Amino acid sequence: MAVAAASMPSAPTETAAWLAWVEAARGGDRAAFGRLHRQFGRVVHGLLLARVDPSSADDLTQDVFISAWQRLHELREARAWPGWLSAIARRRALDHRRQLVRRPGTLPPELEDDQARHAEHALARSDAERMLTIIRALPEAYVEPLLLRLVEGMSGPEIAEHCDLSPGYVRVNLHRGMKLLRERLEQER
Amino acid sequence: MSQPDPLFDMDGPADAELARLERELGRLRWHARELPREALVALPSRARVDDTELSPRPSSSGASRRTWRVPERALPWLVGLAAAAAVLVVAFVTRPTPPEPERVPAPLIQPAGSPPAPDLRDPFAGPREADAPTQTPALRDPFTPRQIAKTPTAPTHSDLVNPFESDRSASWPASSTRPVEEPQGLVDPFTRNHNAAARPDLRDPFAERSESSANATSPAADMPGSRSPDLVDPFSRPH
Repeated sequence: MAVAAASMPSAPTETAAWLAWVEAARGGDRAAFGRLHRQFGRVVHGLLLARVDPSSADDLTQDVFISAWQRLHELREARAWPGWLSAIARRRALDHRRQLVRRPGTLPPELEDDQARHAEHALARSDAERMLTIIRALPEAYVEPLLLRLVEGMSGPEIAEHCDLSPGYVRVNLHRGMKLLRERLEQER
Repeated sequence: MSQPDPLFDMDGPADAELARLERELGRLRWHARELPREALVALPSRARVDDTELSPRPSSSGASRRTWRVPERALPWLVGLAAAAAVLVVAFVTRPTPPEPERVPAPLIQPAGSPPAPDLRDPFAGPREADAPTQTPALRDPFTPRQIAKTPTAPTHSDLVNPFESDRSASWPASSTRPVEEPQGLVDPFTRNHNAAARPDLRDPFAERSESSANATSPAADMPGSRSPDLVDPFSRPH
């Protein structure tokens, strides 16, 4: 019981913390923005990982935070920071995919068809990338919560808070996505 | 007490499958990196800009004066507005001048209020009753014969015959009272016929010519000079 209580996220305190950091960052406090970067870096990375390859996700995460820093004056309310940052990350991933499509002769892994996907499975550098590919093939509503939970190690309440989602929505999609993922993994074996 | 949910709450013992997924996928986890400092140098933060803009600035006179600055987002709109206004001004200045309206000529007819000068006469106006006696016969209007005929007292030139007079002369029952002897032998044919019937003692000067010209085939035969015997009518038929 004590372990469970200690592991429970202290949501009000954390929320008050990042709200104060956002306010401070809007006032030009780069240190506060650095704390936001460390706090929300996992969320941005997980959202990008649902759409781009892992090698590009790290660089794009930095780009997202730089873009957020430069456009911080557009943020009306500090409480809207999680949703606003998530929107920037999703848009940045789409832009990255469009840029790859425009380049002749290149095709990002997330855009390859099923046959190429099977080939990618064969050439997977690790089991992690193979599992990542399987998760991406799931319905879109399950991908983000599963990646944030399994890759970034975030709990359900943290995902809900940092992505501006309801806990019930995250819980349902986590369980449904996990069930579907088990079935796909069973089929792979 | 609710059941522990290792998937959602990360509470309680996780099954083997979930633990394996966490372990394998955890290798792709994000590792915090410092943001490049050069990217965070320029901060277009509205909060700081607003603070600096709204803060009172000391002026030379010591009184605080609020300065108005154009917002950056409105700058393109203002530039476009100024450009449109400039285009409109240029178009207005360089617009083609409309042609001057044709000047309406002054009316030649004087208004009825002012009487015309006595020495000015409207050449297109018809002969008036008062002007008829004073009209020169040589300037007689040939298109208004009946009006002239209505003025019997008007003096007519002796050698001028009104060709339209015949209509009226034929309808005159008392035409015998008119002078039969026309000067120079020019007699109204209708009057001549009438006189020939009424007064046999009067000889028709044209009767002989009419008989002789009955055989003539050319109008030249009626000419006075065609009576010469040494002249041959080129249009006459060969007998």
